[in-house]
Amino acid sequence: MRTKKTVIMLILILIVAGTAIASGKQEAEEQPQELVKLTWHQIGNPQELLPEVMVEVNKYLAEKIGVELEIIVHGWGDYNTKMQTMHAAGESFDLCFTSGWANPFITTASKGAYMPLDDLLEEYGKDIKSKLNPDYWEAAKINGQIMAIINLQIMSNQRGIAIVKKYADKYDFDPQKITENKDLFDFFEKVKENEDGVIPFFGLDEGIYPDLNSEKSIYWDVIIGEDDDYIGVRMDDNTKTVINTIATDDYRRNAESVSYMLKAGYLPSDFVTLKLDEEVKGKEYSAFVMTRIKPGVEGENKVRYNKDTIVFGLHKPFTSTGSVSSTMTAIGINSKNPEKAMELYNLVYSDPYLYNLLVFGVEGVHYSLGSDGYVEQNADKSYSLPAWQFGNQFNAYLMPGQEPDVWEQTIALDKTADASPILGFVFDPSPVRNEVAACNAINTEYRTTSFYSDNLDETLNEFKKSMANAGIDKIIAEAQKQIDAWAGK
Amino acid sequence: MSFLATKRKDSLIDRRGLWLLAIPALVITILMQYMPLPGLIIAFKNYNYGLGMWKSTWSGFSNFKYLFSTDIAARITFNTISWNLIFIVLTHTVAISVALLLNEVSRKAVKFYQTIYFFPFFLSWVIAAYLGLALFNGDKGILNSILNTLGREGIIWYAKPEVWKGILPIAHLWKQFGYVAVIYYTALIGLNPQLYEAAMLEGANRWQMAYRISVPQLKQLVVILVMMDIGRIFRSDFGLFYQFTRNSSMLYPVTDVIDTYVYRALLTLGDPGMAAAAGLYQSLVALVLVLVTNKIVTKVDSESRVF
Amino acid sequence: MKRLYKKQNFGSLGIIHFTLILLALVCILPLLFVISISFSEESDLIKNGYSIFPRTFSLAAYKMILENSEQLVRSYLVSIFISVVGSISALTISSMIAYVMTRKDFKASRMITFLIFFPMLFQAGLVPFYIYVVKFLRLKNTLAILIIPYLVTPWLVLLLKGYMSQIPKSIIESSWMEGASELTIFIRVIVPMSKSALATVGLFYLLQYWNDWWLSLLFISDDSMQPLQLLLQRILSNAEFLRSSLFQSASGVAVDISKLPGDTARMATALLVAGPILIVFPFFQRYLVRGITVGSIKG
Repeated sequence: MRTKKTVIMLILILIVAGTAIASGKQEAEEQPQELVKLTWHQIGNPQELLPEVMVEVNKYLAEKIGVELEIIVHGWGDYNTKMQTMHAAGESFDLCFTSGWANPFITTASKGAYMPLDDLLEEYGKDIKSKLNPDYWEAAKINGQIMAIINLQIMSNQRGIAIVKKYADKYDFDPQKITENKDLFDFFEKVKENEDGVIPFFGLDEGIYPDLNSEKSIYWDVIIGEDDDYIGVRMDDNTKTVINTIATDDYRRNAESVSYMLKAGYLPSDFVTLKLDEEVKGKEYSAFVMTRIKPGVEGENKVRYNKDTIVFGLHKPFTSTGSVSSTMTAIGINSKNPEKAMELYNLVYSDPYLYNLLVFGVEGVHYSLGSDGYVEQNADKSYSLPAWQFGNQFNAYLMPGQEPDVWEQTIALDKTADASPILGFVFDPSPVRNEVAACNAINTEYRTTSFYSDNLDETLNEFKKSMANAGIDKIIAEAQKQIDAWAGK
Repeated sequence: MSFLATKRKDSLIDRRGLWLLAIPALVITILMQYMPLPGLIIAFKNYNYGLGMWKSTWSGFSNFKYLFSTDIAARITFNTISWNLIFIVLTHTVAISVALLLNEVSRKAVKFYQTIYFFPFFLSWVIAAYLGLALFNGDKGILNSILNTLGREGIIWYAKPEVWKGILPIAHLWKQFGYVAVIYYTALIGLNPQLYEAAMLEGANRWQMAYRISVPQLKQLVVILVMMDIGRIFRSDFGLFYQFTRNSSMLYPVTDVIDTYVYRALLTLGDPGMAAAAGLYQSLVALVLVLVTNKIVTKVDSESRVF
Repeated sequence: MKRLYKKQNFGSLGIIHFTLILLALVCILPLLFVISISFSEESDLIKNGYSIFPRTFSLAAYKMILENSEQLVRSYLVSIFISVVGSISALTISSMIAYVMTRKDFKASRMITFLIFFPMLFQAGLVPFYIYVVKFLRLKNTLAILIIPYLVTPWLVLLLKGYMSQIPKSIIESSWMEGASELTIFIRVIVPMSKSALATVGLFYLLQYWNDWWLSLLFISDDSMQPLQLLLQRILSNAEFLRSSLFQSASGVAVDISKLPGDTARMATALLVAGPILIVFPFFQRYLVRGITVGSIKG
């Protein structure tokens, strides 16, 4: 009798559970019309209100080009792994974000993850081609074929640090007056001593910045990818010599200063596992790193984190292959509708209505547009997707904090920024793909280990040895060969 | 003679009842275990996402050559084997000791202890990882709090590989010993009481009896269990090395084993060819080991063979 | 053994119990820490770190989770579904094949046994399996892929086989004489006689499905289908996942996440998952114990 009861109970649970799950999946299967369905994978903060915005978007798209779009936003930490697994499994998708720093363009494109776009651009992407400086396209080419669409936004790169204004004022700290790292550290020390529950700093787990001010620091242009910065060319080196960055003094000094900050308690002890965006939103920091400084960045910080900040650069702005191609969109090799995908992207590139709909939401619902063209976001119904993922950022309405001529300023900045000696060069890793895979892995491990090490020199020596065993010299030779051939053109 | 011994036609029709019973399991096994086998060719190819498994170009043995030429193969192999050896020695020693101790107390007490010793076994490694986080968190963990009150500096646990040489065995033991102890304990209570009578009359105390009588009686069981563990020495408990360590890359020199490397190479580093090569290497060696140890086990106790 | 002792040596018994209790503490202490953290005040933890007993008792973490429990409930349903369906199906399928293996008179049984157990010797490995499942079977993000791989778990089939092979052949024979079909024999004779082995193996399957995070880690990217263990793992690896998924505010304007329970909530979630297991499974311990010993000693 007892077993009968248990069995009945189990069956009931099953039915309840089964229906609950089944109903969750049902909403997907409701549209048997002739609209072409497209999927677009993006990186960012998943948006709760995305579905209602997409209703508007799809209304518009159905009319204009007969397309139904699904945008899937993966979290900052998840994106790389999610895209890797999709590539490995040959899953079909239409559009995805790719760059040197997320879903690494060079490695994924050279392994055949995306469709060549030259023809598609000619036929369906006319607006895209016309808006973008033709020289920049070099950065998106693998073996002579364009493999991704470069998004139009700030083309130069400058990394920086944002100091939260109220702490800067309180401790009389002027970022423009930093002459050596110690000046910054002193500020952190004051914050640490006197402010309870405030963490001095977040950042600098990537890049090589031995001198934390823009006058002194020389940037290294990376060749393989932003995270795989173990080989590079110095910005001021016109001989274009590829160097093992780990062996340089700059690298050592950078590791030293980060290590120092860790030990002194200026950085949270597990900062390498934390995500910038969430940390700055979720906790109280007095300073944090800015991966890309551009005109209007302080305004963006105000909107994003609700903080007044003073931002200073860690080096002079420059343009490089990496900076130009730091936001791109590719079409998946297994996409079933590449033509429609290109059409859609062309529309996003050229149509301000669609663009702002995707980035800011529905006017009147998620934001209101002032007569001066400024966007005011609705605090109760907040929605936003990263503006740089949608083609042409110059389409965007102005955000509070940005000056009215922000886009002109941006273009002007790009023109005056230094150009990297290897701007336009794209590395082909296939002759040394095994070495690259191994070195990438070792680099990821050791770069962070060097921050926590008690004996930095020992760790760095081990690091160098491991890299040597993995074949870094072979990679350097191959890269130099390719660069020399490219430069000789 | 019984019907089971008579010659019955073994055709499908005659045996349809048994075939019916067997089909589901066979289908599932073929589907899940045999059909993926052709995928092993990935280990010999330059895997291209667009071309897929069949059309990608052959690379011969270069994946394997490369795997063994760098430090990678050496490190993951060394870690896999040495950890398993340490675990085997520790687990069985502790489990036997605990079983001996349990043998001395009342059945009620045994039930009580066993229930608690089983808790770690019931928990998944993901949950265990939370327990670890509570202890090892760099800024707030309990261990660091204790260190601080003792006036010492806290340690950033998830960044220091050396300390995990101690943490890993303890964690593995914590999770497994209850389970293994049960096996030994059951064996102990199954022993013939007469074995002890003679010793008792001679005034032996419990420690001597445990050492001189119980342990030797367990010898055969120990050999079988240890042999079986050695047969699995090339495989690792993924949960321990991935979840419990929170996949902290700084610990890889100590915690990276073959299984974690294959997983990473496939899903994070984007190198299916190398991952497949490492996986094949593991499967082949594991095969040899299992066959060898199985042979040894059969010699010891012929009932225990699987094949 | 104690029955033999008329005169107990209380001194050594004391040492024995002391050691055993120490071990029990080691098993339980980490759990107690987690419990303590979950009932603490978040701001207190940020300032002073975790502690063995909550300095300030607070139910804030639980409150937040239970008020926004949609995802948790969903994951619970998924886990319950795959565990129940999985273990019942697995038990059925496994016991059927185990029985067939015991029938030495059936010529094909040797080959069948080999087919089922060979994978214990040699596996294709993760890469072929992964690509095969996603590309060819297209079972990514399905509940099926969380169930199917474990339906025939060799060592549990072995357990059943070991037990069933002890059923006297004469019983099978006499049923056959009475005209019963193989299926009837299985259902009416074998199954009732194997009740305790079935209970044991059923419980092991249940535990395996409930605790599994491996399959979902590989194949589930859809939030609505993530079982409890996967949800827990994502919360663990991403410090802000829990808070940001419960209160998705894009520009950080609406809700000040920093004021919400963080670490306390993570620990509380872990407990809400571990709790039921630790409460339910001890009741079935004796079945598991029996199974372990039979399984290991009889190989």
